[in-house]
Amino acid sequence: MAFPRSDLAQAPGTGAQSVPSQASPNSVPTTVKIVVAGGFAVGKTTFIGSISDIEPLSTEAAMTEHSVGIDDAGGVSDRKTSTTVAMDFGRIALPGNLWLYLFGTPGQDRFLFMWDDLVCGAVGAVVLVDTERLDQCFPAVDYFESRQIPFVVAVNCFDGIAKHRMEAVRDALAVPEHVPMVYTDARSRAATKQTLVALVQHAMSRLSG
Amino acid sequence: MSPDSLEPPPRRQGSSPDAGEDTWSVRPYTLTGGRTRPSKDALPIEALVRAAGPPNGGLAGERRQIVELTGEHYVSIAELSAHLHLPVGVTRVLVGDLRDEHLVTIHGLASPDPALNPATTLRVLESVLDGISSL
Repeated sequence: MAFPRSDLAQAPGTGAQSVPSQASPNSVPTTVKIVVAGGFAVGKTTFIGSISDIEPLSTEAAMTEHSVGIDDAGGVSDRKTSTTVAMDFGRIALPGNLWLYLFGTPGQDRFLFMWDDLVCGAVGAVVLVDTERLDQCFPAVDYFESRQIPFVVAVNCFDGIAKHRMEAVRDALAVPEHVPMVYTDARSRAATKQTLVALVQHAMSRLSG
Repeated sequence: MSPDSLEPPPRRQGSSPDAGEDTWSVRPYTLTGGRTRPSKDALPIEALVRAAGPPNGGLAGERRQIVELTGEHYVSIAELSAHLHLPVGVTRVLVGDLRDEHLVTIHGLASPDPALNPATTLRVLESVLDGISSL
């Protein structure tokens, strides 16, 4: 497992970009987080890296899963297996001594167990979609919808080309009308910014509505 | 990364969240005596840790590193975990122990009441929106 060490020397708050001028260095920052979910290689880390103050870091959440299966002797075995899930994340310092964390998590069914912990207290989630592999984001859409967590569906346009009409994607994914859908480009800071703005606006409308 | 850069960051080998590698042996949890939960409340991954003072002579290994890394700045559990190359669960336990020993303080603990969580108050969301818009 390779971890980038480059920002070790630059702990949070030491970079000129990282410290909002009006914040006292000793006041405790308010932390907020947004979850970035999506299937394999959809561009979650690129999305996070396009806007993060720090090069995305990687950490691991080791979890114990309960599994029931048939053992070699033909009997039913009931055992716990340990699973490790890697999670990339980035951080953005915002004015007002706010630190926004972006956590990227795998969207496959078998990783959803780690989300309950992660989404607690989150602003909401961005479900990053590759239209070539729509099925990979079904679990994420279902998860956030069933738990009433604000989320937006962001269709990642590789090479800046929208290959599918938004409404066709909405129908295919069965995304409810009240959930915003946007085109994005994970490599573009401007596009990532707009996607996050859409999510926060949606979260605010949910709160005041 | 420069604000104007639209290029993706270099992809690091072996660090994909989708790689599903089992890189941890038994060792990380031997640091915690086999415990996978901190002593008291569950610590959010974005909770900030700050050392109460310089590390004392009796501290060693990862426990000492946590106190050193948080000596001058607030550092999140997630970042400590990445820097120490330890799973989040192990880092939580170690930080929880250090807190119980009054060697670090922990900030930004989630409230069980969603209405009291910073991220779900309109005022903070407005600040987040303004902040992102101004990037």
